[in-house]
Amino acid sequence: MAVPMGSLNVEMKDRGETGSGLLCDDPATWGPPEAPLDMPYQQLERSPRRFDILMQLRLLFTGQRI
Amino acid sequence: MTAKPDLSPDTATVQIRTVAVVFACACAVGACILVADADLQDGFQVWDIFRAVLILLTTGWLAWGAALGLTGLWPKRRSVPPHAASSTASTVVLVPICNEDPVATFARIAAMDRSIHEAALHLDIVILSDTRSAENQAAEQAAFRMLITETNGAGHIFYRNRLENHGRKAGNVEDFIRKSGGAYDYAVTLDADSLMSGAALGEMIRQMDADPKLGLLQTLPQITGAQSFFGRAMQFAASFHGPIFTRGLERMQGSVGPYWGHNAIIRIPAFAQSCKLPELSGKPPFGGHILSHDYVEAALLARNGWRVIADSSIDGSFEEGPENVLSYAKRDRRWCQGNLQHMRLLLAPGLAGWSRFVFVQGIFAYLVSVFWAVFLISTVSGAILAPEPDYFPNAYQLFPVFPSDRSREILALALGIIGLLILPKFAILLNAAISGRACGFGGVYRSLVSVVSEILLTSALAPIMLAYQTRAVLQVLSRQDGGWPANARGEGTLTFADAARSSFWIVMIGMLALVATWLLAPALLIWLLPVTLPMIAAPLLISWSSKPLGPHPFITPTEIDVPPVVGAFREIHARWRSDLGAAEIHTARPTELTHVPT
Repeated sequence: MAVPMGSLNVEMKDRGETGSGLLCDDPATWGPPEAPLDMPYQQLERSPRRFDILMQLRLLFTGQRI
Repeated sequence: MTAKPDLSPDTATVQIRTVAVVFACACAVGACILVADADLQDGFQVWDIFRAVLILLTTGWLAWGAALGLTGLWPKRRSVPPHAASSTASTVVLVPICNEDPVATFARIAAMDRSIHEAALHLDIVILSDTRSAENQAAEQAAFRMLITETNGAGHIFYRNRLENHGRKAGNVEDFIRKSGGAYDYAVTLDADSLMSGAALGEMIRQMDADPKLGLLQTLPQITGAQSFFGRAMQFAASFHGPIFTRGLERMQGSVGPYWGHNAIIRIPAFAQSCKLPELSGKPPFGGHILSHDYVEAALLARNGWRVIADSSIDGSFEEGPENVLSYAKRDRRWCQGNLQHMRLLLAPGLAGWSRFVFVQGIFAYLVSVFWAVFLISTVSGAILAPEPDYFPNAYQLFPVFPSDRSREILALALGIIGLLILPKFAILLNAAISGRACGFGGVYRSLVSVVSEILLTSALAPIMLAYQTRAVLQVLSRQDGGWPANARGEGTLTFADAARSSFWIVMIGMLALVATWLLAPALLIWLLPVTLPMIAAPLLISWSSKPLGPHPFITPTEIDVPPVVGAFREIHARWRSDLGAAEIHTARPTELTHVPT
């Protein structure tokens, strides 16, 4: 059964259903069920190794306030 | 959840990789020796080093491709039993879209939903829209209402539009997984032009159930619905040669396989654990969002110990392809930028060696066009700048010494390169004739005609493709961001004027090269005609190859015996178009009926 665009006019309900297999009018309710999942960022770039002269001095002169 | 199994290749994989590498290296070194030997006859020039290195790289690449085809000739034993208990896993089919024709896209979903029910599966389908314009969103919403009415799908077919398009398609899928991924075990990722049968989806789910360490299973989609000469030739090649090359790839890759971004199934916890892509530092084209995200996601799954495999034996996986050279080149420009961006990831921590090699292959697929172009330029330049032959190199010499003729070696090299290009295709033809597979392509004779026609067409178009690819690489290397425009699907025939506008620069380069060679190195003219003539005829070739072709040439099994899911899509699409009427079709933009690429 095909219906021209915009010809349906049914009531809203959770997750887009009206309970009769038809669709709510508000597109904001048409989305999938919410079930959050954690996605940790992946490291792809190597951190550039900089020659930190201050760090070298701190290692050489431990205890000094450099 | 962290699997970390041993993904190191088994003995058979190592052996086949070794054979392929040795074959590619032998061909490359042989070609290099031939070129160096011929070049050094007239003394050493700096061009000679260039040419030797370039022929080494380009021939090695061709031989590697040939090795993939040849190693795929032998059928594969199925390792998973064909029947298993029905799955208890929860699976969702994801359809990310952005400015697609909603009527065609949603008609495909209706056909898939019908096929899913026929296969007694219970899957959710989620349309993930990144469409921004209000007009196009309204068209999608109207088409979604039609879809729900057609399928009675409220409750298992969903539609959501993202407020922010962060990360493009990869970000779209990631957004779904972060917000809703916990509800499902597996997700089938599709493109807007993808079609998959319920049986194919059931087989993918079964394989995922059977192997808890399998993170991603990629199918080989067959191209359907091609109309033009170019499109039908590509459709035939994908159907006839594609499964064999993919089988070679399967043998070579072991458990560190490819992901092509669609027509694949992923294990959601594995994907969530492994595949949140960061933005790369710096600006596009090398920084910013990762464009060719699929290769990277496959590498990241493998990094976390999940198996990634391709299975070309799963039937019922379909997509559509470009219908003309210009839309092919437009898609290639995107892929070129995406693949060259992988230069940044070659040294990413923890990746499997094969994953890095896959990145290298993707980069090389585009750089090789530049290498061929530089090889041709250096050949002409070398001939022009070569010193005059010295017929009397020694004092008091009675008879002249003529430079030795190396035409035979050069001819051998040319034939060898042509052989690497066409040998796998004829080997596949022979294999198809012996195994009976050719029957699906109209019999052995029609398969032969189709193979030869496809080789002739691709040979004629090769210099034009080389020009477009070389330009794409140079644009990316000069840091021009081509972005990631929406796909141009279902585009129509190109006029000569359309083709000429887009290929005028190729014609100019071809004419310049022809005239320069004629004036400065006439001996090379005949060797360069196969390159320069197609470039000069580019507008004619591009427009001619975009014309519709009858159903008989390049026939494929899916045309002889139309798969039910493809037939259902065509029936639903035609009916919806008819019900909507011409007036509404033109308001539902963009549309596959009216789009013409620029």
